[in-house]
Amino acid sequence: MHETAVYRIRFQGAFDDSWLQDLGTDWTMQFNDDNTAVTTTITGILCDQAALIGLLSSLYNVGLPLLEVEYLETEAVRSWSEEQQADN
Amino acid sequence: MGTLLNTKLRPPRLREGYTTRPRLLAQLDSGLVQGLILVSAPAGYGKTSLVADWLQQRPALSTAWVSLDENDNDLDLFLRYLTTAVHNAFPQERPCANTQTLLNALQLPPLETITNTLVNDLARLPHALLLILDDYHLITLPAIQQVMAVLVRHLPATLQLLLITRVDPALPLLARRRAQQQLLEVRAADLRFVQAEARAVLRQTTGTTVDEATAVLLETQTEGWIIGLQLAGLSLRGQADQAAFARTFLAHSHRLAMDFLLGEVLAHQPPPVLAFLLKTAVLERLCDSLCQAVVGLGLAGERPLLATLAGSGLFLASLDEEGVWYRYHPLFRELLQRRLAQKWGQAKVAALHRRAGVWLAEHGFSEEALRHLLMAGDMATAVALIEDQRHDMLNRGEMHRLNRWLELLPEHVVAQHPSLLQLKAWTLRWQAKFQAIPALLQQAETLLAQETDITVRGSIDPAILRGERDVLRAEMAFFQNDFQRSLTFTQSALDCLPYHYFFARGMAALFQLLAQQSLGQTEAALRQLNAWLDDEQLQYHAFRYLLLLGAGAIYGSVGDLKRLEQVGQFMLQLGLADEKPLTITWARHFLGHVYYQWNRLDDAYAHWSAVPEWRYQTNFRTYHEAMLGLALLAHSANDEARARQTLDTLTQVLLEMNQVQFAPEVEAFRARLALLRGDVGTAVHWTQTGTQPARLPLWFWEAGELTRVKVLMAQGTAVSRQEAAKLLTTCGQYAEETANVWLLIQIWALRALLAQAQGQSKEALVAAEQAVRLAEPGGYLRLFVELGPEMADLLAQLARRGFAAAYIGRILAVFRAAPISKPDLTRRELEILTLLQQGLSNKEIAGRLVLSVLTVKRHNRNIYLKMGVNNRRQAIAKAKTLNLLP
Repeated sequence: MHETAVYRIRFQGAFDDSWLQDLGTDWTMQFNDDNTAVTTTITGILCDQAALIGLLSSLYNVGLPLLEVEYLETEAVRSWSEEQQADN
Repeated sequence: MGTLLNTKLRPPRLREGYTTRPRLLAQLDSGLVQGLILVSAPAGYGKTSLVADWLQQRPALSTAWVSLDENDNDLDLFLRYLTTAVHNAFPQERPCANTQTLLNALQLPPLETITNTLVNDLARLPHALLLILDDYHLITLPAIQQVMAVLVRHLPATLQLLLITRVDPALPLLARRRAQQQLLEVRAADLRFVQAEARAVLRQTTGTTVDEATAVLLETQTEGWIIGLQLAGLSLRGQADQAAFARTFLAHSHRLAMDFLLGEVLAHQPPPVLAFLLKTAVLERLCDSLCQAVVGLGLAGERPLLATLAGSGLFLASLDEEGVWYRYHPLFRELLQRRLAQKWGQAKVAALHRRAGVWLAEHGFSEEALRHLLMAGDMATAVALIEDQRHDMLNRGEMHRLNRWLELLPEHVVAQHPSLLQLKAWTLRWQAKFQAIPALLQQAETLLAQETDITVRGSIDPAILRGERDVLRAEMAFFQNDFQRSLTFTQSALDCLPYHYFFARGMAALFQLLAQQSLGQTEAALRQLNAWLDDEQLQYHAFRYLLLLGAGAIYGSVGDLKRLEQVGQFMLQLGLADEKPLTITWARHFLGHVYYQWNRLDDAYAHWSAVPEWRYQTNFRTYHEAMLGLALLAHSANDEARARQTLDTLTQVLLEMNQVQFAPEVEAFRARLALLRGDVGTAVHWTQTGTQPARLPLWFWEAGELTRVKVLMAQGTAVSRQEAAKLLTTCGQYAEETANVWLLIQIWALRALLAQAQGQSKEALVAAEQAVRLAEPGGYLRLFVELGPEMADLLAQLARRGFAAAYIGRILAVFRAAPISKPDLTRRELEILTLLQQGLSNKEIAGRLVLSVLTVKRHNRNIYLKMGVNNRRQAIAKAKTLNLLP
């Protein structure tokens, strides 16, 4: 609830890169367009679930339907951010 | 109520050409029966417009509307809006007056009290009312959510509640109400525009006909989401090839391409309009003049007018009949703000907030101005705004507002500004939280000493700030009984403070009078009082009230009940005329005291019993004193149960309002009442275990040390009497020094009783004579009656010797009329008393009642204590006079 964790969030539709920049540098975005529907998956670190709820409501407010929220183990935070750093 | 924005208390006006939606109106109609209506859907589904249209179509409905925003996450402010909205619907009846009373409390009462009062108020509406709270999702403060939860749980039959919200509120019983059909919901699926409706909107926003294929495409893409459809319609304007545009829209492959649509809309605006839209997105509400200030001066012809923009479908809703104030659709504004932030960056956006703040401040919207200035990070201007207003607000006593403003500021900013630190000290003083004040004043003083360039640290003259500090210090010194120091501070304060600082000067004047009186300089105090009473400052309530309070305190302590009555009557008129709770309750306290002493008990009751209703809005002292007075009245009517109940209520309220510093006085007073009942045991117990109240310098009811003297005398041993005599000596010195006649009368009377008990009849009469001499000018009656039949004996002796016979005759008449209080003996104790009277020995009694001799002795001791006697003989004699035995 109050711990930093990695979240993977999938929603229908898309937003442009500027939204992602607002979320922070360590967020990634992946589009999926299978001709019938566009979906987007974003993955990144949030400091607690208050931040998660805030992010979900901003998606809700611009009308992007939520498909899935995945909580990745807190231990995964370190390895995930290490991976990110390795990539950069 | 000056802080409330009227535009939030009515629905926004519908845009021209709004198409009414009959199927949804019928749905809402049915909700009236169910009591609770929830319009819950994401932004941009036309929730607010739907409800506004419904109200317009049903003019017979009696309604109250509140448009909420983030700033309303403040219990006080939220409830002010809510109750004011209700009162706008019932201007005559003002059904929420009780709740508003609580909101004006010096310190906000506990949440439970507020909630219960609100629910009770709303249960008494003259007829059915529909209360609408728009944008309820913005309320995140748990305290408000709790109030609303209780309101929904106990929804009065006359109240229908309609919440417009983006997300379902956390309210109890929603599922149950849903199941029992006590809840109507209008949700996104209902709000979606069906094809015919969508077509009408599209036609209206584009201003032209739209070809069939494009229309279908847009309708499918937006899924009946009205704001999406409107944006799409606006983007279509000026598109040469509608079908091509629709295809681009689709190809863009964003399901709900808000950004795309907004980009299209903005791309077609002329540059001045585009700049206007982005810049004004910082505003919660807009008017032409404010927008001009924020956007900057353009050529007259290029300056867009809100009415024109609203007419062109740019998501502006008018908020008033006059067409002055507007607001953007919240979602449209959010999107504009995003664009603004991307395009301009923080510094430029801050400049916009700053300009808005300056305009709003100039036009008297101080609180809105303050919020913008804080968003601009412009602390200097924000502080200057507060500094500019603080003095008028103090004069008007707007402490709630000052407190809220201070809380808006970051703590470190307050800590850097002497004027704000001192403002905080004022608000704490007003909430009777004295402990934290000295540190704040010290901090302010240190800052001022360090700072050579005062312009950096605020605009208020350091001399004025010093004057304010001295007022607060004078008050604190006074309550620490350091009267000389207090007097010095008041003089320095009066020297420093400009003439128009009525409130601060009034406080200085009050404590100057009190300090002079307490230093025994009664003459000087009265001269000073008369000089001020001629002054024109007197036309200001704050000054006049404080001066009269000082006058009352002086007359009360010099025992001039006639003048105290005059002051009380005058204050009462003034307080009632200006509706000032502090003035009213102090006046009633004075009058209750006078009439009680004059044995006009009904008049005393009338004044004291009118104080408790103000308990949250007034100084706790006046409530406390009135409750003690009411307990005394109950006792003198022989209604001990009511006396106890009154004190229990007082204790309860005292805890509820966290005024524990009054608790020792209440305990001492309980001991005093126990003595009056003849229950010496309880009183003795208090001297052994209770906390002694600090000695009070004024004319308050409970002087704990005198009660202690009475208990020691009732114990009736040689040692206890000696101790009583010693205590009377110190009390007497204090009362002489402070010229406190009210205390001196009691002290001389107690000395007389003590001498009598010690068999020194001559000394007793001398002391009694002294008490009567001091008491006669004021005409005190009850003070003597409270001291019991022994006092009556002494007074009768004085009268027989021809001393003050007429006055004593009046006192004795009250004695004779007063019912004699009987000691509170248990059945067992009465049994034993009967046997004692029959002359049985302890051993015989033990045998008769099947008790041990030790137990009988213990009972005897209790009987003696309760009856205030020392031995068997006295007990039997007193039992006869009191008719205790058959």
